[in-house]
Amino acid sequence: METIGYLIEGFNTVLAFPYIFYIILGVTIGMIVGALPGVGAVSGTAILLPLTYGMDLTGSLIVLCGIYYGTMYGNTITAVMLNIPGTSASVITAIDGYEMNKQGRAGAAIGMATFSSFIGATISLIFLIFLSSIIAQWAVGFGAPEYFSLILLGLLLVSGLTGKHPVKGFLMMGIGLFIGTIGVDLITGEQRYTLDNIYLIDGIELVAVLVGLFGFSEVLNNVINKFNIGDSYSKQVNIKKMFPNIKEWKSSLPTISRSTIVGFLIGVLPGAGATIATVFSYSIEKKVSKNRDNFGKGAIEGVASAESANNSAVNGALIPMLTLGIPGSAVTAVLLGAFIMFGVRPGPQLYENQSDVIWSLFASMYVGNFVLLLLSILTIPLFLYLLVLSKNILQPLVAVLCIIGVYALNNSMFDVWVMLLFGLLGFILKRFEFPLLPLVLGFILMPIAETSLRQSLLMSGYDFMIFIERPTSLVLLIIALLYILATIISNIIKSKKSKMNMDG
Amino acid sequence: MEYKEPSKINRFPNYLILGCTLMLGILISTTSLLFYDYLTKDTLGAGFSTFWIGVLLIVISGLSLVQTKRGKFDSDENQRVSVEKVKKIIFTMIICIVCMSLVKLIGMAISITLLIFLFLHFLEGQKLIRSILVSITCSIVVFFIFDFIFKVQFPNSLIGF
Repeated sequence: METIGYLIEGFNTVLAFPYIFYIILGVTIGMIVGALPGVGAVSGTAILLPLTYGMDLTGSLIVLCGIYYGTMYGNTITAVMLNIPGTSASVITAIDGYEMNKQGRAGAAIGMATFSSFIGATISLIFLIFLSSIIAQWAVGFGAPEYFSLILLGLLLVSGLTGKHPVKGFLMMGIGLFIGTIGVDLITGEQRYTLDNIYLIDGIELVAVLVGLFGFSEVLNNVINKFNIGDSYSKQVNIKKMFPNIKEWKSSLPTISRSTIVGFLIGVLPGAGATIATVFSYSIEKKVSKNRDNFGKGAIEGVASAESANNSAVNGALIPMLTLGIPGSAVTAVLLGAFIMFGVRPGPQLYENQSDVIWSLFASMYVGNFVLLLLSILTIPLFLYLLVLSKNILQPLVAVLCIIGVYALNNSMFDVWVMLLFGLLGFILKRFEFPLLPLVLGFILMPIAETSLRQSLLMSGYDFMIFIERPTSLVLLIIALLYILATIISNIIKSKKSKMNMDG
Repeated sequence: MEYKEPSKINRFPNYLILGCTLMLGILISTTSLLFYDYLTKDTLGAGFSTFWIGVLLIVISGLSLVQTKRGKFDSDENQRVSVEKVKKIIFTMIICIVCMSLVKLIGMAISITLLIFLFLHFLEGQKLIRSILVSITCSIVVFFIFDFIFKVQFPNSLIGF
């Protein structure tokens, strides 16, 4: 009952001006960003993060989360209409969605994608609200040793699970940790790796790093990977054709329910994210759906599965970030950047000290999903037109937004140079399959990890046994150890198998 | 059917990146010991974490170099780099660096206009007149948003904007 009361309070807040305007703004930008090929949720939120600086924390989060889930809807448009998935999470949607488009059923594909996204997002929000409250209550008793162990586990999981090769993830984590040490050491007051540069005393600006790695690097990527939009966009989408018929609803509803649950559970796991959620739920549906033979050939259940799973995963991914302060995906790392920009550190205390922010955010997501449903139905032809119109001016405009957004933060050209440097670095690393998320995560979590480690040792009088003597910390460390062992063993098995294949 | 030889995997970029991280690791761990305290009277010194981060980088870079040599990363599609693409990236970076270097001299407004124009005309291959018109229009819109709505103070040029 208490939860419902908080939620009603949240609705009261967000249905008033200016928050209702922020919701509409966020989801509209999200849809536009999602519909533009090459600009995904990560780069969209990263580029627009500095623009929310003038708002309060609630407003900033409402806009950024609106962009986040708005992008998921927007991605569907390009996936279905052009076979260009804006992000990897929409690749699965494109398989059946584009096939349906070729069969003249683009309206039904987009309609089902819109409704299944709405249902997936709305149901998973209920899971998010209840589960996050439970985790926050559990984590509120964490002391420094538990926090250190938790960060260690989070870093290991995310670094190992992101990208193709765990070893590259761990390397990126190490670089992120190093970047996180630059600046004045908070305990001893010593300057570390500042090279006597006054701009580095407070450390490297997080927003500049995020915009560079996720925003500007995409500009460079799109400069060499041109999207061929041409005239392939279809004009067959109108409101009448977007409503699935009863037969389609009947066959898709069980799929949507299963995929929502699977998507949410995978979304919660650090490092897994929406892409794995869609792939996993699609493969389950391919086995259990009544229409499984048509998967890949234009099955509406395929679209329903992918869309409900990826929107559900979006809400699942917010749980570790909001309750423990550990982002499990790149977008939630950017959202964490928004919290840090306002001097707030997410975690269990957030639910006690700034509960109004959390509940307003949850309420805004309900309202935002409803706004998106209306926007999707009414404006898809307009978005498609915009997509074709903007294909040439998009990249310079994104580059300018990156530059001006980062400059506006501190009125500092130094931040712009940092952003450009990290943009180039991000482009190179991504090109050679070095994952960026562990780098960002290492950078963000390093100061807390270091402080927690030092506080723990101060508490124990330099005794490292404190991490083992405390039960929660011990459990977290055992999980971390088991994960490392599992990674090593699976690598050994893999290389033995490939050796046997080569010999055989 | 014509036989197509598979394109050769170029391991050099991986070696280069891993070589850099290895050097960085060595640099961090040695400078940590040389310039910062490893331990203080009460707690860990400023050099403790950085030393171990350096060691971590050395170990993982070394391991990755061995794996690169064994061809473990060869399946990565993006390892094929064309000279044309590298040129485009260098040109994009030069445009950005030149325009940002000119900010103090010609102001942010003109620098941004110049950046959009160079991007459109040389990278996107747009016609001269269209590039000029679009760059001016985009700059005006962007400046209206940031200057008038967000009240951001941009560096001005000698002529006042």
